[in-house]
Amino acid sequence: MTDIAETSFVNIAPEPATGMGICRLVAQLDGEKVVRLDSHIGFSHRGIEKMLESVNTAQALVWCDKLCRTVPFAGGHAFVLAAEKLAGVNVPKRAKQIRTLLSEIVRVSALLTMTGNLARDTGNAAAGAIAAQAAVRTTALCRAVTRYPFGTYFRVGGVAVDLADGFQDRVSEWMSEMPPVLDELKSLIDNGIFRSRTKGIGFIGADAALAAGLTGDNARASGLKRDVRADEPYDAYSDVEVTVPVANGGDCYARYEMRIDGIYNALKLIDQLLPQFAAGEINAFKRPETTTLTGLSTHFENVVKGLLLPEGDVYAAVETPFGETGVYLQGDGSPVPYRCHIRSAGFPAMQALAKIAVGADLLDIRPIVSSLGVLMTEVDR
Amino acid sequence: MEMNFFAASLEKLSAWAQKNAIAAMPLPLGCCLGESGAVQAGIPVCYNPRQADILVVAGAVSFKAAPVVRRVYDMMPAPKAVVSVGNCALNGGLFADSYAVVRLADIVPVDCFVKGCPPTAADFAAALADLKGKGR
Repeated sequence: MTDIAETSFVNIAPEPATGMGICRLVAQLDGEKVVRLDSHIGFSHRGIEKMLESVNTAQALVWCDKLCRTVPFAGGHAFVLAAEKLAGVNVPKRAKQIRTLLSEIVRVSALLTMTGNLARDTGNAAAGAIAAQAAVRTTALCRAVTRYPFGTYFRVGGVAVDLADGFQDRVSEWMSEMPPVLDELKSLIDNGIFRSRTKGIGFIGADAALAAGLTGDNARASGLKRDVRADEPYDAYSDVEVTVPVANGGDCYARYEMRIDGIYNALKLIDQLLPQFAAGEINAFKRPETTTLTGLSTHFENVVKGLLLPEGDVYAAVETPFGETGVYLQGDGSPVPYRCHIRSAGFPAMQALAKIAVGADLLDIRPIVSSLGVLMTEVDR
Repeated sequence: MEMNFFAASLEKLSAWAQKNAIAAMPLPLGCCLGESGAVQAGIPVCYNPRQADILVVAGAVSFKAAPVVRRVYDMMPAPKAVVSVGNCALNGGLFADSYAVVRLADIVPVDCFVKGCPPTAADFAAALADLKGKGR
């Protein structure tokens, strides 16, 4: 360890990397080399978990979707899966397929944004703008097919409303737009300058990544074959073939490659999913057809009180663009969860940053943080 | 007629310059986007409080972030303005009951509130243009 008298400290704030939210990094420098990096997180902590412990599962989804702005379904998806697992709800097939489809569409948008942010942080603003445009188009597609505001669309037992008529055509049209955009993006980003700023920088090996709890693209970039969609398929992922790409670089460039592969994989999954769409219900809790007083009052109670969560605890995880986001729920027989904990994917990544950044140049901190693809609202909950 | 000079009082000149060269510093604390609206309103984004004229605070302000917001505000040179984006910054919004969240107006004087959860970029751009029109 370098003598503290010879080192200097530099604060990196408020946004260490483009679009990540508020966070403070304190770097201890020996010349230009980082000898220690402390991350101060919690500026976006809004106490979402405790809020969820005071409301029923139907109300809770509003807060879940505020977990991250770019991937509104991430928190909500894990939460509805956990609630359904705990209460033993049988979700209709169409609802599962709709959720899977939207998760993948949003994944494309989020991965595009992350790639664009990394391009910006390595000094390539043009690629960042192109990625942002494509992400905006993808978000617009989500709004058009769900006919709902972006987010707050998933429900315990299914989804809020059925997809718009002819959604398959719209999705197919958007899918045909994507390959040229991706080609353009890759040709703009993947050049000698980008490689010199990312290759061999921000390295974390497989063992260290596993010990740190990295998931998703960050783990796969270090050679760990981990993907919740393949390992523990949820919703309609068991009906499609999920390929898990792995890179061994463990550096910023490998993480960039994994993100691009992730976009192609998501498009492949959507391609497999579209012809499979089943007709039928979109929510397990449909309005009763009977107009008897008991039937209606049972439905009314279900809606007003919410779903009863039996005693016990469950953990359900989804593969978000950040990695494995999971929700732990403990029920006590009432509609309000007794305990709720969100396992955010970015939190271990922020902790691993202390290891990854040591030995790097001060100027490399920005691409390193950016390549981890964290979002502070998701980290801080 | 060709004029290669003009006469003005220094105060008016500096006011004119300040009004037409505004830089906004975004603090995206929550899920509302801080930057997109400023860009749409034609206001450049600047991450240095010493050079910023407008502080754009987006999303719920947590207890941990509150002193930071105040400090950033104090570092900005006068004349300065604060724009609060989203219901959360306005009154806590969805997180009004949370143990972790305070109202932005309790920390710094706010000149302009943009409501919505989340507000559209157009709403935000309109608010910024309005603020610009006031010559603040």
